Amino acid sequence: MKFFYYDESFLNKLNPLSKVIAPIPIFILLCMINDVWTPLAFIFLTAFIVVVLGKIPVTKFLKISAPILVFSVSILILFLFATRSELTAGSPVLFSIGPFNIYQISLYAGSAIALRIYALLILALPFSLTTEPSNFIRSIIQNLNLPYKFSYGVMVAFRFLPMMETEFNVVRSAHKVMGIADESGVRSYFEKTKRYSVPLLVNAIRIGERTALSMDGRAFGAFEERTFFREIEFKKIDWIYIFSFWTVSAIILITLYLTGLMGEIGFYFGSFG
Amino acid sequence: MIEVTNLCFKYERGSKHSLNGIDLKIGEGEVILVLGPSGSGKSTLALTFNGLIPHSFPGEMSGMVHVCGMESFKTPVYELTQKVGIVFQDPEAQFVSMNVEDEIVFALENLCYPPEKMEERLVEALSKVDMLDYRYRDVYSLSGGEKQKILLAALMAIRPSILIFDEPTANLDPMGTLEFFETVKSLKETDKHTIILIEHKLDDLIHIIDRVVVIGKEGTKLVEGTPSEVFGEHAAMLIQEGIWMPQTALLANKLKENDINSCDVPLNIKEACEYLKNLKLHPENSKNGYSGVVSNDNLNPALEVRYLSFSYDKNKIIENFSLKVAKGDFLAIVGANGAGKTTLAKHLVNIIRPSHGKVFIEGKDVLDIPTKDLSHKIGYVFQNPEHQFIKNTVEEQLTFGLELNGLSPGEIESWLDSTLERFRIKPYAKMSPYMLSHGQKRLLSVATMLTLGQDILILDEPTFGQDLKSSRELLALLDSLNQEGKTIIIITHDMTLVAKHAKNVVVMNAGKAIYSGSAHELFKNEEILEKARLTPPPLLKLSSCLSKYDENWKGLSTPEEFVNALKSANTLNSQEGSK
Repeated sequence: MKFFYYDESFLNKLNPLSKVIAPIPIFILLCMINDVWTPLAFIFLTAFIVVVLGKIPVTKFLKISAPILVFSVSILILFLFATRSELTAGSPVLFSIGPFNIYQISLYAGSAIALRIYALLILALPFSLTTEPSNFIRSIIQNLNLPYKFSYGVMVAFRFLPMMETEFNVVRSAHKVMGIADESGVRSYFEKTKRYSVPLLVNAIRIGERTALSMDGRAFGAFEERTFFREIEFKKIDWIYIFSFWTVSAIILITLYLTGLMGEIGFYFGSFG
Repeated sequence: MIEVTNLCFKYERGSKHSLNGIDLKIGEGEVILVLGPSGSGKSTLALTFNGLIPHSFPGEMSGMVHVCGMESFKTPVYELTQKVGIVFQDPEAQFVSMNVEDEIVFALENLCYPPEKMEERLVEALSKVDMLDYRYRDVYSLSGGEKQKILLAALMAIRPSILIFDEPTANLDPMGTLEFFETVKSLKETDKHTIILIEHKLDDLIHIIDRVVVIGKEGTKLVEGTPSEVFGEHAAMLIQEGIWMPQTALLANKLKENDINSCDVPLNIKEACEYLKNLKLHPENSKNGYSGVVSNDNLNPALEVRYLSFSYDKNKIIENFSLKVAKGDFLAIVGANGAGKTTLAKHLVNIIRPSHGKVFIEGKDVLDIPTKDLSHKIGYVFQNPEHQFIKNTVEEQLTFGLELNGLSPGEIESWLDSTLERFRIKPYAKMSPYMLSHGQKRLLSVATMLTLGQDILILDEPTFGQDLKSSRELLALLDSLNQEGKTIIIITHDMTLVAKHAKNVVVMNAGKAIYSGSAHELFKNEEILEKARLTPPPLLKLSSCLSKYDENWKGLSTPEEFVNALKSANTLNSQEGSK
């Protein structure tokens, strides 16, 4: 399980927090803009950042964004068939499939929503593709002054996930060889949950206990503060990244607004018409 | 360095004392081996040294522990942990970070060292365990042995003067174990560390040990003394308590029992070789004590694998593997970690579908046998018995298979009774399977499998982490099942077990079978042993050492074989003498 790529790219050198902070305003704005062009512009901007600044190979990028694309397209299709009637009233029919009329406005609204979802999800990629989880936690502890005892708990929990996944697979095959097949149905669902959760919990507790012993045995929690081998600071390039991101975003937004491509602003599509 | 007086400890919810009046003095630079059956409080003792007991564990403690002049009760844990470092058994669970560098500096960061000093200690610690090249590696990419070495380095970074190893090799394969022991040995040679070892793979380590402390089931100290005192004079008691001993010491004890050569107790191969080389063996008899090779050319094999291949992520795990297992065989599958043993076994029970090739059970393709029927033909006991506990009580766990089989309540009742008796778990019948001891859990998981009435039983590392007593009980059970006609297949690293119990062996190396035949012949084949990175049982090393003096010593690998060979030679010698 590995989300981050060890390349000495520009994005790798940034403080993880700046990769979180930069897209937040855009995140909020995108939720309120109902046209097609704004999300599209940010999709291209993000793709540019990931591929050029993050040095993520294009094929890798496409592969990772494929499921997001599928999700967005399915939303679009849903919209084509199920747009609110007050919206479709008066809109020209593009074509018909059997008893369904596909209206122009449905296509437009569907595309806007699908692109918005695609853009929102893809905005997180510059962070998630180039950040090592433990570095992220370290930056939270160091820059946001969170208590380290708590944050280390989160980090260890993150380490546990792949272990638990392996455990789960082992338990499943262990039960399978005993002739207990996973049947469908509500009753067997509860039975199954219990059958799996007991050994998983017992082992998780045991592993957790051992980890705690190992941490305590190395003076974890000795003092209120601790030092860090790798200081993660908020450097100049972090400010540069954040402000350039915001500047470029502002230019995009203003251009779209001035050229009239940006529709009405509001949380719901169809607050106009 | 460490002084323990009249130490007692009881865990908060424990029913009895884990430690009961322990007195112990450990001097600077000593290497102490702590032995005891599982559940005897060895680990508890170790935890009192670095202060986690009483500071982190609720419980009742009485008596005193002084570490480097500090009284553990009054000293905060982080002071004590700077003096005493412990490496525990499960390497996976001890890691906090995802890469090596972070792991090493973890303790230094907690103790607020400045970064420049950390760099210095980081390099120092890694070079002490000879792992400097691993500095930028991810934890996931390390083998078990490497992980334990990194964890050791993580402790060395704060320069503790006392190092405790609590079964550090329990989860490692033989090569990893050997590798880790080498590191421990080098620590003893280069530094003035006081080392406390809790370990039962003793043969490779015994010569660095100054003193042995044996703790009994009740948490009391049974014996203390030099290795030769403990393994010589108290051998009978150790065996009775179910405590592992060096194989050479076991051999000496067996010889003594049979009135052959009552010499001092040899603790390593070289010593043993010196003692035994003057004894004569009769050429014919050395081959006795070994019997029951099951022919593999059986026309109706219980299990057959034909040209099996399996790849995962483009890596060939198993390559063109064929195997026939005869009915009633006791087969051991051996090989280094990653040789494909477990993957092969998983094919046999259809947990994994083969990429190429087929597996047949009693002549039927496993893919064509429904899961339910397959589970009545072939059983698979997983490494961790808990993974196969699916019922709330021991009793239910044992009977659910019988109910599936449609036995009458009366039959089930009587079967249950005899089984509980046979495994000596009657008092626990109404308790949760999780409440059993480690050895009992293993027995229960085998028993559960038996209820499904299979003729073929596969066991993955059946003796992992068990004390001598429970592992003997288990093997005795397997032997008797085998005599009843069941086919037993074990995956194991334990070559002593192979020598003693297996009729046939398959050696796997990089997904291929490089040897298939009798265990006895295998141990004569040094080329194969080396290629598969197997570590021969200690007594086999002894026999090959002795074979320089007399060819007939060759291939002996268990105390019983030695005794048999010597016994018949002795009677022959005396017969010749009387003529």
